[in-house]
Amino acid sequence: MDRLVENPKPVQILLVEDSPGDVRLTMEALREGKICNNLFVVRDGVEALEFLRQQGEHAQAPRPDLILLDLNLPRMDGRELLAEIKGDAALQQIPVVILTTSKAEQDIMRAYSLHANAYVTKPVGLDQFAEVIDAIEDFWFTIVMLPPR
Amino acid sequence: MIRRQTLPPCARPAPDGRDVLVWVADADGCAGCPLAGANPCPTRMTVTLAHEERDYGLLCVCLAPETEAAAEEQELLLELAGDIALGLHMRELAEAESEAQRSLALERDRLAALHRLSEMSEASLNQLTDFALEEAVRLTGSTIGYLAFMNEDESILTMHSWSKSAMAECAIIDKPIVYPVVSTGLWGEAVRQRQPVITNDYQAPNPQKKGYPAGHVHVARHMNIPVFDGEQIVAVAGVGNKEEPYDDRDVVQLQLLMQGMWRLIQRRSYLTELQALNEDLEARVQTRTAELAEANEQLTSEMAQRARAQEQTAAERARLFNVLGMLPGYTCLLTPERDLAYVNQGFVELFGEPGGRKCYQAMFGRREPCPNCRSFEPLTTGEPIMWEQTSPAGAVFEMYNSGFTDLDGTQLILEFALDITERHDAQEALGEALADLQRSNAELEQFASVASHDLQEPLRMVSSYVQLLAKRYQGQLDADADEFIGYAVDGAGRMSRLIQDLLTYSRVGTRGRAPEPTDCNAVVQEALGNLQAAIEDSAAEIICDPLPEEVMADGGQLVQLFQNLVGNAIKFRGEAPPQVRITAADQGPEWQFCVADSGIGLDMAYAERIFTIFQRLNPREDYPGTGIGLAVCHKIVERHHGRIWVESAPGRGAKFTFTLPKERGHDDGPIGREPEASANPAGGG
Repeated sequence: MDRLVENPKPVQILLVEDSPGDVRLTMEALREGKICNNLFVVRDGVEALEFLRQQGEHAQAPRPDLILLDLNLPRMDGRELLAEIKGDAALQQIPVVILTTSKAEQDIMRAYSLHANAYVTKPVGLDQFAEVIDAIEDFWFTIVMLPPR
Repeated sequence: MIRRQTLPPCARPAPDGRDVLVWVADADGCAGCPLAGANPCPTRMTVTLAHEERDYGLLCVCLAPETEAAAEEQELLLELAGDIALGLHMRELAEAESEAQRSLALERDRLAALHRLSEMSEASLNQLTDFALEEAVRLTGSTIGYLAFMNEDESILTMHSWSKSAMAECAIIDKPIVYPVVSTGLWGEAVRQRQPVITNDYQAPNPQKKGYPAGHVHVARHMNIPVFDGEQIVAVAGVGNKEEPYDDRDVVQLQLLMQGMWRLIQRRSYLTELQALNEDLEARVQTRTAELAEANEQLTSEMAQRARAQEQTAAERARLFNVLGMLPGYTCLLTPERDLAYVNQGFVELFGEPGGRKCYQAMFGRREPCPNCRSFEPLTTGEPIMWEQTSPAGAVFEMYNSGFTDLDGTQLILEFALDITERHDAQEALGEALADLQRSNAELEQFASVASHDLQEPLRMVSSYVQLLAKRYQGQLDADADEFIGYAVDGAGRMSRLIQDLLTYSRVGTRGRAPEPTDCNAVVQEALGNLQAAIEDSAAEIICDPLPEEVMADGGQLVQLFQNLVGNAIKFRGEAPPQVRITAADQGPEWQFCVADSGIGLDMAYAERIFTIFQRLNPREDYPGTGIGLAVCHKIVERHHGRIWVESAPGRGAKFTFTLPKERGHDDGPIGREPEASANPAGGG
């Protein structure tokens, strides 16, 4: 927990996911993780934009350090939201990790074309899922240097 | 008349008429007179011997010296002179009569000769001329005779015949026959002078004579004549050696006889010519008749032939009509005014008798021409067309229309149509079925893909939370709960694998790549590489023959194909380490690949079933797997237009064989892709 010692301020993670099961699984995985984090959950792209732009009920929302984004969402789906974020000079610096069940090549290509920072498929097994979440957390918050807040 | 100058002097003072002249002769004047010496009396009386107008001469008497020339004496003398003149006259009359009778006899003879000549119609020319010549000799009192014919330009005489007497007397053995006129002697004069020539003293010197050869008949007298036909000399006839000199009467006899003969000859030659002409004509008539007969025969034969041909034509025609009648569908001839000039039996059966109605009325009961009618297009384009027509009743016809020139030159339309309603319906049904099938297949693949993809989400939830349950509460509930949780976890795992396999299977159709030249050796090496762990674990022995270095195939699918087959060979192994042999054979239009193993084999009763998706022959506990591998193999081979089958027996290993055509790898369609998960908008992410 070096990071926590050095930087006791918890990292802010925004999870954009409409499936409550996945939300819970992600939360379980993050709760067992090493890094102190604040997980915020929104259910679709529209709400995610409001959160990022601190609009409406999210006026007090913090700027997230990492966005975990599912592709298939109601109202505004993950691809559209990704395009919005990466097209917005104020938001484009925030790393976006696509977290989806789709292994379709087209989805992968399109996500990277829209400047996704990583593309991760959700494993079926619980343990594997936990490992993936751990790995994401470890990579983005202990290995890479994120842009300064 | 008495010419006084010719009278002796004593007769000169002859009286005129009946007068008696009494005169005294002087001595000198009567010298030489036969009367002078006998009676020297100088007194004479002369009187004319006259009878009627004719004077026969003078009667001169010397008077005795003592006698006076008295009147009585003179009267007596006159009477005497009258008697003498009468006697003379009588004699003259008798002579004239005799001469006339002789001439008449000759004439009769000649006429008889001519008559006989004219009757000699059956005689040959030689017989004719011989007879005429003999008669000429006889009638002229001659002993020899000859006849020579002249050529047309009167230059050459050809001796035709001699009289028998001449022949008998002639000693010349080789008688010349042809005499050029110019070289003839005396006998040619008749030609040169173109008139009869009489030579009564033949032996006298004559400049025209050229002499005759030794042995020639002796000629004392000679007479010959040219025989004329009009102006033309056609022959020369001659006679000779008459006792008396020849005279004009002989000439006339010879001329008349010879001209008569010539006319006969001519007539005969005319007849001959006529006969020849007739014969020629007859021959020609016969020839012509023969020709006509031949022509007639030919004509008859031709007519018979024509009749046969007509019969054949009629039969052919009848047959054609039968054929037309039997044709499926109908045939008709249409005028540009849409009248039916001809319909076949098929037409009548379909639409009934046209009965003078327009085509659209007769066929479809329409009042106006069919709106989509194309039948008459060939009239303008000249090109035959094929099109489809649907009747108001729903029958579908395949129509063939072309221009048709009738026998009288009328331009018509030939229409032949087949009722293809059934075929049409069947095709339509088939097309629909095919479309349905394609849609169904596509839907199935789509379904498999979407379903498997979207199934992943809830499955992942089930799987994850069962696992979470097991992880947190294993051993905290009772044993049953643990067992239940165990089944749930196992079921979720199997379902996950099924879904993965289903996705793999559906991707064969949707994610294939275009065929490209592929090295099968590299493909097999890649497949074996992917199976490395299984090969090592089972200690399998893989033998791979050299394989074709270039086949048209989707390389990725080919890897999967070999990988599944070799993987199966290892998986269904017996007690001993598996042996797998991969071979290939060139079968002409296709390659044939074999993957043979030494494994447990299978009952051939299931040989087909094993290629069906999710079909398993063995217990899952012994041989894990979903039963997708061979179904995927089957689908890959099928996509490459090949075949795959198995030969095996339980416990005897299995030999899987598949073929790849050389010509056609597989469909060159666009590379399919797995439908996106987002295809289901309600699906979770």
